[in-house]
Amino acid sequence: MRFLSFPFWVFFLIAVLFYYLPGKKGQWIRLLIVSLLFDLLSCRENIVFLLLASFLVWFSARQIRKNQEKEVRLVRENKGVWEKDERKQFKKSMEKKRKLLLSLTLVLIFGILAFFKYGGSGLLLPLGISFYTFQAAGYLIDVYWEKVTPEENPFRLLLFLSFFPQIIQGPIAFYSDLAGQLYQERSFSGEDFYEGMRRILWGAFKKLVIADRLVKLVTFASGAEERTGSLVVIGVLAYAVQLYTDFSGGIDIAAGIGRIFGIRMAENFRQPYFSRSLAEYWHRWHITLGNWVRTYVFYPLSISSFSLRSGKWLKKKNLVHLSRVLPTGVCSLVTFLIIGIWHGRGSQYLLFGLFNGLVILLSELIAPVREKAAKNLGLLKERKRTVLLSVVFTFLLVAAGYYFDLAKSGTEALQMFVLTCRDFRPGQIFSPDLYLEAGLYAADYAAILVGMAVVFVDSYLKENKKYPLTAFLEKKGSVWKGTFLFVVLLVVLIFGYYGPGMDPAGFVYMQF
Amino acid sequence: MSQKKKKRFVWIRFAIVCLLVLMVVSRLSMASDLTSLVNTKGFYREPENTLDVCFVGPSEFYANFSPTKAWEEFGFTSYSLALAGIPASMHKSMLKEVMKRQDPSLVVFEINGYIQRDTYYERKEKIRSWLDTIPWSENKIEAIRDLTPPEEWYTFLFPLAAYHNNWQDPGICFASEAVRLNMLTAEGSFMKGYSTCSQADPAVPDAKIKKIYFTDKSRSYLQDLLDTCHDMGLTQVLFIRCPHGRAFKNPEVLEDIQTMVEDAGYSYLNLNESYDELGLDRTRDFYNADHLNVLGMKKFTAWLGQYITDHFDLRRNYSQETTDYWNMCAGKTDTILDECEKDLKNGISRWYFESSAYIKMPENPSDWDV
Repeated sequence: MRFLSFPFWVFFLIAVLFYYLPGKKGQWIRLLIVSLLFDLLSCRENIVFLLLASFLVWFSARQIRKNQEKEVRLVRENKGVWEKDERKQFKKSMEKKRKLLLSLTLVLIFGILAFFKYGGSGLLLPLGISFYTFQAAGYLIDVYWEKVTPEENPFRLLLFLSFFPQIIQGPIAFYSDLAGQLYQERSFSGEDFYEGMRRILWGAFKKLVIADRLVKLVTFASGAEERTGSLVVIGVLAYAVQLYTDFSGGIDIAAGIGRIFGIRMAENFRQPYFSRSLAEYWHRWHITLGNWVRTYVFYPLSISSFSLRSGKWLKKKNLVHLSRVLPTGVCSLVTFLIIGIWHGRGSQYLLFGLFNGLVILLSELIAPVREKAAKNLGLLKERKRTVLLSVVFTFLLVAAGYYFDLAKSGTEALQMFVLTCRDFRPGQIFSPDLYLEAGLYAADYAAILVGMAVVFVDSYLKENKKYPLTAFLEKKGSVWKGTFLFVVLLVVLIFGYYGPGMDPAGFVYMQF
Repeated sequence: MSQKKKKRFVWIRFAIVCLLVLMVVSRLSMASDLTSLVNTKGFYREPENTLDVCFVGPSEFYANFSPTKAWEEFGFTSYSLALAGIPASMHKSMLKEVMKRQDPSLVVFEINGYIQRDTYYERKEKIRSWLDTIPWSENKIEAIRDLTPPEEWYTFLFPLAAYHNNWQDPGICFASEAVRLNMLTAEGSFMKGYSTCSQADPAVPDAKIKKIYFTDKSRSYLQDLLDTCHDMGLTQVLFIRCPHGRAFKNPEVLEDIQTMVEDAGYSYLNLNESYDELGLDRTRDFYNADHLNVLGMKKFTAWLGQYITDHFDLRRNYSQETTDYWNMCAGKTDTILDECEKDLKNGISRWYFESSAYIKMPENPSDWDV
């Protein structure tokens, strides 16, 4: 079952009624039933792995907690009995056991993920396996770090991992942010319903009016027999728009569905194409994946003994800037390699990670030189011109990264770069016939352009923290809000690219 | 009224308005091939149990045969329930609709839909041109269930999901709605499903020879239709291949169809290349390789009308009311046909169909070009 399909909306309506109508008692159980049902209807095989991962992680977390409690109890009981060394040794042995259990569980759950994702087993990737595996791992590590108390009831943990709006393409939630909300009892709220519907319709607008229409152009430009540099550029630019509207649209829909159940999910995007550097972009794009990787990979790596020692060593050699930048830069590079590998099996994904990591590392390394040059050129950070230049330059870097995303292999990505430089024909970019060849009509492009303009204005206002429409509707009251929702619904229903005869495109991030 | 009740009332009103707007938009989006639309709607305007012969099938029927001409020459009532490119899989539900409203002595099917590749059955817009035009009934539900994919069923309840892309051509949406509204209030169908183009294509004799198929799917649809005819107690059914401007590469394929039809006790007639017998001139009587123009229609109607009169028992005991009504329709149609013939002579290419009886033809032919 896909979001935005007719059966899904029927399911969703029944789910909302089932959640609220019988009263507050047992709401989380009903939400779990609904989530498992969604999994069953979407991907029957998925339920097996979901249950396996949930119970395995629940059991390991409980064992880790028991081990922690045992350690504290025995240390307390043997206070004054054990020597300092004895106590240290005991703690170390307990820590070792916990680490072993943590590692084994992580290897197992990531092993399952790797088997499906990289094993070439020919089996279909269970829906959302990446997302719930990351959430499960995060939860277990948090328990290991004693940041959260492990869940006693395995079914409550199962709900945290299977909560249906996020299963398709995230966002990846931290247990401390989401779990409490899932178990909370609540009454139906008109405000939550309005906000939820607004997010759902906004997401549907981005996905159906823009993203799904652009699929044909992206496929045409990247699959053309006689590929030119300009076609590659058209493909990459169209992909940049398609990917953002598709992914952020899907997340909006998920967040909207969550909101109707009274649950506020983590934001995954913050106007990423307004970023002024690649590092900032990665704080605005797929935020929850970035946060996850930073929390569980980057920070532990940054404070690892190797990182700390190399920093000290560089400082000793009087390389102050390098001592500050290089160790974290290397950790960041490793993190990006992991992000690259997470995206898929081919060498192009590895190169994608390497490209992003290296650009950020280099940017940090040359920061003093860059800042000096900017100052000499009069490019003050606050100036509009400087901001615009940085935004455009960052977008070009991001677009360069998409070459790897679009290519079927690392070699193909490099060939695309070569083509762009060697065979770029500006005339082709402005040739209307070329765009019509993609199988879209002029009216389709008009819909895409108008849609993009709407998304741009929305992003610009959000970036500047201005919300005139929200303020206007708040002032006018609920009937106006309802009318607004209805108008957006009509726009999506009429101008969306869906239904029989159209090629329904899945969410891009579903495959991850 | 309490504040809570007032609020509830406002929201109920709001929901009703939204629903109405959605229904109007959804209906407006339903653009269809106008000829097929008007032919189907026109069929439902025919007084019940007044038709002696019913033609069921594709565009060949609406272009080649004029029921009102047949009325004038042979005195039997008939109707061409003909839709452009209608897949043969729809014949069964078309027949059921016919039998719900009429009690014809003879039903005639065109075999065009059975001699195509299987992809012919997948043409959604053709399937929908029928299913979305007929009223809701058990027959419609059955056809939707049997002949369309389950993931599209909801679009029959909410047509906007299927037709929304017509926003790119609002003209056809409004024209379709105008036709629907017109047929809702019309006295009846004047042309009885006849439609043509004032054009002669002299290149028809050079048309590419066509390869035909009789696939397993077509075989099963034909068998199903024959069984349905039997179940309905039909004794007089004719399967016909209308005259076409092009020959078949493999005409032996038709033998299988003929055998099946005749084994079922029904009649079969292949007129695909019977130009001499019908007196057709391929350079003058066709508006394209698959359809006769008004000149060709007159010849074919005369021939087929005679054939039907000679080979089948028709009721022909019509009431005075029916006779008057048919005379009136024939008169109206004749005026249109005269105009069409005049256009043909003058080399003006225009489309003539049921709605031509209601719309004044523009002075400037380019406004009504084909």
